[in-house]
Amino acid sequence: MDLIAVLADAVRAAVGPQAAVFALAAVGLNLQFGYAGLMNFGQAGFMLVGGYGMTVSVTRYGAPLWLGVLVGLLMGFLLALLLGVPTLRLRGDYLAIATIAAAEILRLLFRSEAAAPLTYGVFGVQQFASDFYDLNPFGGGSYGIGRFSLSGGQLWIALVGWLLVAAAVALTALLVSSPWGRVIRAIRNDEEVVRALGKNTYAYKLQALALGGLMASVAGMVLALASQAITPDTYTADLSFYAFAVLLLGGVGRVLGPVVGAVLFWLLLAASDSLLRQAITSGVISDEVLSTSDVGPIRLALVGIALILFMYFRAGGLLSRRTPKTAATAKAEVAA
Amino acid sequence: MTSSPSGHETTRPILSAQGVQRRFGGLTAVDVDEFAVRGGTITALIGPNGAGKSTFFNVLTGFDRADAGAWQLEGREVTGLPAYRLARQGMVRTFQLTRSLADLTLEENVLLAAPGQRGEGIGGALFGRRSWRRQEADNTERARELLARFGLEQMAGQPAGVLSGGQRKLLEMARALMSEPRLLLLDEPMAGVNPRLVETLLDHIRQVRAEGTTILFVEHDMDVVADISDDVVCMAFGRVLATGTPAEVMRDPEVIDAYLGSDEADDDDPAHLAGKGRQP
Amino acid sequence: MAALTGAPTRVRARRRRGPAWAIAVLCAVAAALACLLVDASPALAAGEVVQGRLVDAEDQPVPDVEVTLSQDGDEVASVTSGADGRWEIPVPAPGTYEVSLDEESLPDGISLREGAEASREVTVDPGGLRNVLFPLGQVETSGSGLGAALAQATLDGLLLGALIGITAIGLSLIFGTTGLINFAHGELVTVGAVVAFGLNAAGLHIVLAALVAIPVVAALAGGSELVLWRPMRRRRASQVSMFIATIGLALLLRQVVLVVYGGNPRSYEQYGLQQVWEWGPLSITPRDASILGIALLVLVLVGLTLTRSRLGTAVRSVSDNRALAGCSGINVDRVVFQVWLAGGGLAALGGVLYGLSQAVTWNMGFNLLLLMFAGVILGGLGTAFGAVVGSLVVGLLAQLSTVFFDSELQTVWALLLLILVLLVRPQGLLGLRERVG
Repeated sequence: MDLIAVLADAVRAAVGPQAAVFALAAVGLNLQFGYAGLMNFGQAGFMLVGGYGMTVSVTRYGAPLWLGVLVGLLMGFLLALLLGVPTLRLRGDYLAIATIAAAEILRLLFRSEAAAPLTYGVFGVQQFASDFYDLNPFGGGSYGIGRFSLSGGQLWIALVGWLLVAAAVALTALLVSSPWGRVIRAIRNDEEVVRALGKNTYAYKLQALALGGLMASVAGMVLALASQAITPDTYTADLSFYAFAVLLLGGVGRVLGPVVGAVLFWLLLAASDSLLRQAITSGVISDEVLSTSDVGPIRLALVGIALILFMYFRAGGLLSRRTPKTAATAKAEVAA
Repeated sequence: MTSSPSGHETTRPILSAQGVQRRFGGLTAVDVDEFAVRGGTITALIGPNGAGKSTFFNVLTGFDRADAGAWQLEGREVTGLPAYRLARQGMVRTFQLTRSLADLTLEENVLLAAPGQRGEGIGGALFGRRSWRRQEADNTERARELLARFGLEQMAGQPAGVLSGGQRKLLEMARALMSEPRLLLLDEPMAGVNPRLVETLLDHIRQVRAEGTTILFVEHDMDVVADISDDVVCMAFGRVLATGTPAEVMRDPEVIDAYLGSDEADDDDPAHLAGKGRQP
Repeated sequence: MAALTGAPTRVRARRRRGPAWAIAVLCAVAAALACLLVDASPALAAGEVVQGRLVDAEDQPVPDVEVTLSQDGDEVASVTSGADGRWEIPVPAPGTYEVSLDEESLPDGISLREGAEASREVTVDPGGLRNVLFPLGQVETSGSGLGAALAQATLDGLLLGALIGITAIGLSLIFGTTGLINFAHGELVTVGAVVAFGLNAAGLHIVLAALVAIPVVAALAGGSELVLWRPMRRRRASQVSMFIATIGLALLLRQVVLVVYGGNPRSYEQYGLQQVWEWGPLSITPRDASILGIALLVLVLVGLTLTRSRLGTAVRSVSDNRALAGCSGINVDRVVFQVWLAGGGLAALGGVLYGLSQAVTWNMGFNLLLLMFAGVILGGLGTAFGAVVGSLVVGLLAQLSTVFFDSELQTVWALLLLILVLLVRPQGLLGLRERVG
């Protein structure tokens, strides 16, 4: 087996655009769940409207890329209002169900035949990002050290992705260290106390949901740009769950947690993927037991196991010292 | 207003309510015709368990909705205002089960209550850093003073989760005072507190009154009420049974009837705890 | 609270009634499943498939007939029926297709029945098998119109709703007794259907396979309570972390099923293709009629159990007030465990019935889960009756929507209803408004 290749695969994934996409989505989720305690299980929906908002305006209406990006952001903001205005008055677990349902509705609508004239249906659309890659300053060559390398295009999207991550992290850091951040952290602890102290908690929750949703919309755009393709079925509920896994891996309620989480997540995912594939192709694992097509599902099963173990042993995530708590939890404990 | 008891100077009520009702299905939990709190007093709202005191309290503070009725704060109509707006108008409450914000430090707990912090808006937080930092410095000074007053200054930097039950009561008072209330509403401040701390709490409450803040507190232990309150309002079955000085109310035969069979020590009864669905 | 829940006085006779109740339900299910025996023919397919079997009026196979599948006028594929009269066309993606039978290729003396159309619009659900019957011979069939379509959709909706209801009871009761939203509940459904499929493929009749799958999944659900949820409750894990852990379990189970079972939808050996029964505008296969019967019977039995038995009373009182139930001598942990067992068993039964009615797929449970949420929330979280009523409404809505809109959007309507209910009446149709403070 070629362990150097495994390592190169893992590192490439950990610094690549995919990891940046998950880091962005998880930074947004951190603001929502980690700081404000909002259980948003529809991060995939925000990514979808971001990605499609940009793509559709560019391909269907010939808009320039920057306008597409604005449309994507607007879509993310509108979705946050649509979801938040009615559901943020409800119990936390209702928000979870409403967000997951909304994300699923969006995916089903976008893949439907009826919407195909706008959304391109099940198969989506490809090769729409030439505007973006025309800006690539790295050219077509390959960059890297030894076995680890990225093409110029990959390097370009990875760079943009990570710069956006840096911006999102900086914004989060500024916000959570301000009095605004104190209010949303307090809301996660006990919303009623915060209301009793004269804060409009509903408005704060809506702000946190919208900000996190905007970051996820940006993540959706980076994802679409990186793969030069967008299909509705990229944005399944599982995508939202991975965002949670990334956040938990890195540490809930810590500014850099999502970044650490995304890098670790992809490092582990790509390494296990590469290892398993090599083990199968080289015959270490008989292909009667597993075939290479089983590698994808096994990776995801590992994500599932990781989620269970985290929640069982360290609910705040790998790097956290405390457990996340919401007002709903506190109430449930009181009732228990 | 008919509620000013004999033997007391009549002051303008800081809080008055008329015809407040709250029903749950067929049960009328609260049905209060007249209620008033005189400014500058300590008023106790007493009554046996299940009398509807806490529900009434929740309705007045915007934590529950009323099915009927109206109430005014310092003459301004505040009926049905959301809790946060009532708090901004100077009517601040505490909770029966002390609720500290466990992940925040003691200092953050108190700072949170500071009114008018510009950095609490998203724009202010990002673009008005210098401005909110200055405010924050002033607020921190006041927060320290308050913590010191309640004997918590040593722990200012620790998360509130480490506090004992009694300390949380003190922190909650400090936090409420930080918001500069004109009317402080305390929901069973003495519940589950050891007798030694009760004295301390009572002293603090008297001192708050001395500083000009009106206090309304819910309590079901009559003995506690007797030596601290100026006025007492007794509720049973959702209605106001009697209003007056502590001595007057405690002589009232209706009040004595209401308290018969539901003695003050029933906190130790497990069925009572379970019935309330609450942890001790 | 743990000390309280272990209170010395216990509800008497629970020990005896618990299993007896389970056995009664199982027997009823077995008996009802056994009634299913009509015309069993094998059907094994991969991917989304449109299939059928051509038989004449005497039920003899009709071979060498050309059947064409097209979409929006473009031909997708064309096949001829085999010696057993069977034909099968894999479909590239779910959607609406036109299936047409080439009347020229019919043998002499056989024609389409009067009134029957040579071409048919069919809608293929994601991961679904779609049977298309071209009635041959001379028997009359009735015409169709909006009324007929609505009547048929109502019948289909009842069937779907009853299946959602069976699976949703467990979800609702688990929430009621523990406050946990079990995201892995859909996977219990899948595992039930897949275990039954494995046994079925190994030669066991589907009725027997179902009877084995039900306790297997009940054990899986009960095991998860013992290994994960009870210890987590004991250590006062927050509701949120338990909720996320169920998501992890769901991911794990779903991916394991995908590796073991594979990604293609498949059908059970028995009751694959059946001649439909027709009453006026309504048509239903004997299989689906039996499934509907079994489902309704089970729903009634569960209802009776909850209202009449000691266990039911215990379950309802734990849902009402956990601490009070513990104080009044109910062993709360035991009741919760039994709810997991029953919920798991019902999920497996629902999975097998759904697999019989549609097809067995690796993600059928997850797709059902969102419909279950819709049903459970519509009816009121935590109440079994609410779950059933809500599920029936969701099933009807989903199917009736197909009369007016694309069938691929049927889940969308159900989920929109879910969100609407959350906005207007979050406690559900039958739930009571929570008392605050």
